[in-house]
Amino acid sequence: MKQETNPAVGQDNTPVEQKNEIDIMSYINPFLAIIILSGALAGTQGWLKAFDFNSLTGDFGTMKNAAQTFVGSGGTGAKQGFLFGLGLIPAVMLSVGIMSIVEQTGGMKVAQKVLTPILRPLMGLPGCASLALIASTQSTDAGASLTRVMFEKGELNGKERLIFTTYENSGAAAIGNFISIGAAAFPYIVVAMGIPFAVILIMKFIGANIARLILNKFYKEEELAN
Amino acid sequence: MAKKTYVEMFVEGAREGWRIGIQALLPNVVMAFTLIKILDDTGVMKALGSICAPVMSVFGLPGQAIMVLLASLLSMGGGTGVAMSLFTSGTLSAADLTIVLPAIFLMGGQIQNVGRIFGVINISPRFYPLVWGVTLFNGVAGMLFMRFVVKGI
Repeated sequence: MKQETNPAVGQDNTPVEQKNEIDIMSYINPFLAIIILSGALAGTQGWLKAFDFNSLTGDFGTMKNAAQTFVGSGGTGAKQGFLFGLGLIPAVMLSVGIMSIVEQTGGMKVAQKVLTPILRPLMGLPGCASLALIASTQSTDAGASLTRVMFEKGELNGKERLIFTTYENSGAAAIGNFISIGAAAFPYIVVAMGIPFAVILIMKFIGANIARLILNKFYKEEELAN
Repeated sequence: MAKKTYVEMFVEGAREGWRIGIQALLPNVVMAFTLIKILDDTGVMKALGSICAPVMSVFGLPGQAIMVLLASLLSMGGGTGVAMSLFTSGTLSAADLTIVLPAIFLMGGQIQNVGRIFGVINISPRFYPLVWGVTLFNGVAGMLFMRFVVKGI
């Protein structure tokens, strides 16, 4: 499976235009960078901390008991984000790996056969979107990557891509996230966990259809292709 | 060329997953967590909380619950973390936690999603408001429904 994803926000297939003009931010940014990187505000309290490099870098969490993962607790800033982000990667590798087998063994064609008649009336999406749909319930990144590839191959048109984006954006990786992160709250909520879970999935579906209605009513496909 | 084994197919995909993880995912997550820290340290998160407080009563929630939703916008883990800490301190009751839980996920991770969904799929920024509008609607409707389930009309 060939997937082309952007390395960072704004760096897509289209080359990022380099702005060489000097504006007010050209003066402010180096000034802020000097303040942050120099450590001038190290050890300060309150809002000034937000401009101290060490404070922004933060701390790794520590493992206070055997039940904690390497992310630990009490971490802050970029360091906590880094460990948390590392912890997300196995799930992405696993789901993309599984999808790779499904795709290379002809699963795409079967999914298209089975789900085409259902997905079209359900959300206005072609049946081949079912794989991305399934992937997106487990992994935001796998779902988004697959959606991009499908659009580039012409399997989704502009409108379908937007409906799918709306579906995915609300309750991203709903199943994976709710079962893992949300599990922290399960012992304390006053209803069975199936109820909030069902609310999430039903609202995702309703939301996708709201987007579908709006796009059908106010936009022509030519306006949606990019 | 010999037929590929399942192991080879999986490893190919997993390698792709690693590339996505390192190049697309990790830099965006580090950005999001640093942003969370800046908003926390500057007190912006706290100020927003007290300004928006009256709105939360619509959902049968105390004002402080806005912090859960704001933190959710940054990351679902953050939202859940704030919810659990407010619950532990008694600011949110068990019923409040139940009401706000689906919204953490329905509205969660929006800042990360700009990179992880909009950026990766490469949709035009002029459609961000449509997607955000629906996302907000989903979260609001989810909380109203949960309020009905937990507290009746």
